[in-house]
Amino acid sequence: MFDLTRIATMTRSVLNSRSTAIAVALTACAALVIHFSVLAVYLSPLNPLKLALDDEVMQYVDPLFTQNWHLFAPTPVNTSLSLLGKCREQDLESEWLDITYGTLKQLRAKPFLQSHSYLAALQQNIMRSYVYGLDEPDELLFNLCIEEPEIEYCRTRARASDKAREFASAGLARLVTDACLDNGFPHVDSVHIRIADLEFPRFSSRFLPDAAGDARYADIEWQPSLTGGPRQ
Amino acid sequence: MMMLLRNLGNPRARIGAALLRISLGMAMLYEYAINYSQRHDLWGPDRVAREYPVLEFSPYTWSASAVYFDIVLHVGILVAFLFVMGIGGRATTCVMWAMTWFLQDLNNLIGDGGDNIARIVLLYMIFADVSGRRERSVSLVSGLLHNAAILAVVIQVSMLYLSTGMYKIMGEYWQNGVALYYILRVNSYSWTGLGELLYANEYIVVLLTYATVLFEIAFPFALFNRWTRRSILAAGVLFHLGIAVSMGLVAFSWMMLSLYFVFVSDREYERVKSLLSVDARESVVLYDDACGLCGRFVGFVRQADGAERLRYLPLQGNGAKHLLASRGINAERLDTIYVVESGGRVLSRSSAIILIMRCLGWPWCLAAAASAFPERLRDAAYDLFAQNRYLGNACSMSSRYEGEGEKKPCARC
Repeated sequence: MFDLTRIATMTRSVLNSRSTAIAVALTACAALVIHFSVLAVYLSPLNPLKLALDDEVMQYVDPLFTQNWHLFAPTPVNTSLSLLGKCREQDLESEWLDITYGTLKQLRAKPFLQSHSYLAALQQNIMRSYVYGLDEPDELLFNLCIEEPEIEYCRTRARASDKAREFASAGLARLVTDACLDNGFPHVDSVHIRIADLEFPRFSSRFLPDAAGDARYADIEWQPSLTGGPRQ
Repeated sequence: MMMLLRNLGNPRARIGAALLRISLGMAMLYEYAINYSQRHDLWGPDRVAREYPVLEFSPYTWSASAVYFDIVLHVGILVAFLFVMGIGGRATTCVMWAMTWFLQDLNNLIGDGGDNIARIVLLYMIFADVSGRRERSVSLVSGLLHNAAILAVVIQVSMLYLSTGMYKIMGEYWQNGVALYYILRVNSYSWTGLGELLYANEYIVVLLTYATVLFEIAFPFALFNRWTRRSILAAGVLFHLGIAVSMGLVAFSWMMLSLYFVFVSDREYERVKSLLSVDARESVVLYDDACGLCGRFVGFVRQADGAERLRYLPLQGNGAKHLLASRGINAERLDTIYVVESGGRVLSRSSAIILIMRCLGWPWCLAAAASAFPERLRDAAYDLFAQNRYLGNACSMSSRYEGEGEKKPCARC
């Protein structure tokens, strides 16, 4: 029925033929130029071209090529976020549990077992998402959207930020509930969430302890606990 | 025209692509392994981030059963294993990319830049020949696609550095040279305790802050310049090792450093391979037997040379004198060690030491990296040792050697 040898020979000759090679070379060149031109706009700092092409660029980039390389820029993360929680079970109420401290303590105790770094990242990203919305504090965006909140770019980001906060709120409830379950509240019915945003001493006072800095708190008052099914 | 096409289609960086495959695959296996016990909390149907939207077509979403989740996750682990082993070619690379993407999509909150770049680069790698089998001929079209994929990885990494660098130079903390302090003091990066040591010194903070920005901005330009390419790659390796150690971001640094494999050409890998391995069978080491340091070094070499590739003769013996004299070398000179290769070539001083270390295999062969230094500089360092080799001599002049090979124990030390 099929002469496999003949098919293989034909395929080989097509793949080595001049016309196929020219077509592939030109297509690859064009694809690389277009792809990285779009990425250049996407990855560039805020500029008029980026604002004008935002929709088109995002349509191409999302979800396959989404990327974010400015976690530490323009302004590096310069406050420490800590997740605190209180648990309530019938008439019993716990003291504040420092959930972040517990995770980082375990990470420090077992630095080569990096699994706790994923839990730490999970907590940090959910808290940052709740406190700062969609993105890290980016002065350019922040200033632009304060001055011109009605432009489409800022409205889109504001909607996405609200959504991010909503998801983060649920994530925080789950993290605190899990901590309550691990700390002697097996039937926790409600949780109180607090995010401590500690501005540790600035560079000139760097030898002072963290406690010398200013702390701001974001509270989510008592709300029903959120479990993830039976604890493992 | 055809010549140009053949040149463009001649696959480059095939060894680098294979090493990238192995390293990225192992990094993914590492992530699976260390998170195995908490897989349900991070990625399972009842994960912490379950409210966040996920890809509708992801196989992880087809059932809310924990057993089904485990089955899909284990398929992902199996695929990562096949990927590392190089089994299944492009089909495995394709599935590896998809499974990585689906897994990361389940919980974007735990991923870092390393996961992000790995997902993108895996997509490019589908078009590359990552088998590492250089003897296998590839069609012109495959070669063109391979080179396009490698170029895509290189441009992607360059854009990564340039993008982050451009953002950094706009930041006040980066301009003031203190950004590193804030990063190292944040609780999620300060747990290693090393940051505290670094930011105690203001010179280190300022230097490393500016060096980071300079490195990131310079990377794309220095990478494409033959004079600066190796320096910028070396700087990049140090940069990511520094991040791994000081901030504890091991997986991120691992994945970033994996990408560096494609920046090294096949020819350079061949060169490194030839530097690290050597066929020194029947080579003879000639050493000053009156020097305790030399004797101890030879003792160590004998012990480490499990394959017994080298033979040893004291310079004071007639055998060594004859060997050197027959090659026109002054046999009375005792201030250097010699290696006489089976082909007749004679190496002395630092070159001889490097050859001996290469003979010993892993990890001693790493000493071959000293070849990167100019011979004159190496020999100057060697001479410093040679001139002082009798200091603290453990053994004075030992018995005379007339015979070949075996070293007799010192009569008196």
